[in-house]
Amino acid sequence: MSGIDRVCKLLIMSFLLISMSAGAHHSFDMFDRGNPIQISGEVKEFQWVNPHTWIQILVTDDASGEIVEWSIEGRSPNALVRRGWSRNTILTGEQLTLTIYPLRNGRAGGAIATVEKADGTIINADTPSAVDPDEE
Amino acid sequence: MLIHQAQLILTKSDKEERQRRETEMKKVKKIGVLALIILLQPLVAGNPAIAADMAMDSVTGEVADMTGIWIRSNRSLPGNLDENFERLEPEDFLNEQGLQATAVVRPAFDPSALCLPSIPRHLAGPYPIEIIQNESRVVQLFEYDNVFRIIYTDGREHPDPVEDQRFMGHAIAQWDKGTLIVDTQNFNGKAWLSLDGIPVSENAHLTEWYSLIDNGETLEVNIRYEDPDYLKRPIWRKYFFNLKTDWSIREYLCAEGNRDNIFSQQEGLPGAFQAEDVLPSE
Repeated sequence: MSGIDRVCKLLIMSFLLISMSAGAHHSFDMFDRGNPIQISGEVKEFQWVNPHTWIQILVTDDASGEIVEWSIEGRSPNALVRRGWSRNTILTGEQLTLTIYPLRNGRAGGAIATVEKADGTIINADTPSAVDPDEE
Repeated sequence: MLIHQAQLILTKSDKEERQRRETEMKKVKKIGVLALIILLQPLVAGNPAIAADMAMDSVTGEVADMTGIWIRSNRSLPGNLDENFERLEPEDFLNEQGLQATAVVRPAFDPSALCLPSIPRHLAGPYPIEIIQNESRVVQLFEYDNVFRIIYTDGREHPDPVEDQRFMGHAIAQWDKGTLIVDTQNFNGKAWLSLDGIPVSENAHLTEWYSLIDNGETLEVNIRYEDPDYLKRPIWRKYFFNLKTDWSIREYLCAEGNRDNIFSQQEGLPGAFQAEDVLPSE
């Protein structure tokens, strides 16, 4: 996928996120949907919990060499399991590249858009375009 | 004796005449009502409120089997609507108090972010609802927040609205021609209508019409929401739900990993909200 394609896809996803958020557990205003970023690192923990899953990922800061733990919020297990996920879709210790909508407040956190595995597999983890998976 | 008989005959003739007139009047009335129904039919057919209000005096009691697991469809209409299901802007339906209440919306104070449920908000959630029913009630099991709602169809009234207040309100219903007409009140004033921060006051009143369409594959839900404390006119919503015969309700316990509760922030695990995020929404 080209960079432009990826940006277009993310923009579409952002729109869907806005349109779908009416039924969400909380507001997504704190995430900067217009400026998705990528982070790479080792998974410290994948929390398969409600109301949201969390990927705790250790990211090495290129400039300082410091390791920073990021908290990346995902869809609920209930939404993900109906789209083929399980609690083992992401494993502790694996290397991932995540596309996220970062927190506006600058803290090490964000909302998940895509998960890229070490073998290049990309999993769409963004807000689905429909509540019913059969309508996606 | 003859006079008396004549009086009797006259009386009998009067009675017959009166009966004949009454029968004619009834016929005229029937024709008039029929004409009125025919004239109003396009209006009534397009508006479940009018149809239902007309029907409330003579509910048929005809029940439909809505048992099953239902998930909201993208065919549902978004937003808050008028009685013709046209989109309304907040200033179209919020009164002065409603405008004030939503002028500054603090997402961290959203009851939903604290795992607190509400109606009609839970109908719009991203999770399925299982309906179980018998002759005295229709029960909605919401996967969203693991909450249930009992809609009584046994003829009972609402409890005292001061003594008995609830996040989900108290729901009673009647069946009419296969449509479940639900009346909900007794709200506790602590919920929001949606993310936009409109409070659901203690005086809020909700009416829902549930009907099966598409040979029972779709559940159509029309909603009228009224709240004299925050709204200057009723707002409507229209949802469609798809039947999922092979689904099961899963557990959803919001408190397990909720980092959005600013009052229970876990140290060292930056979540979506921090105490300093209790700021106006952009």
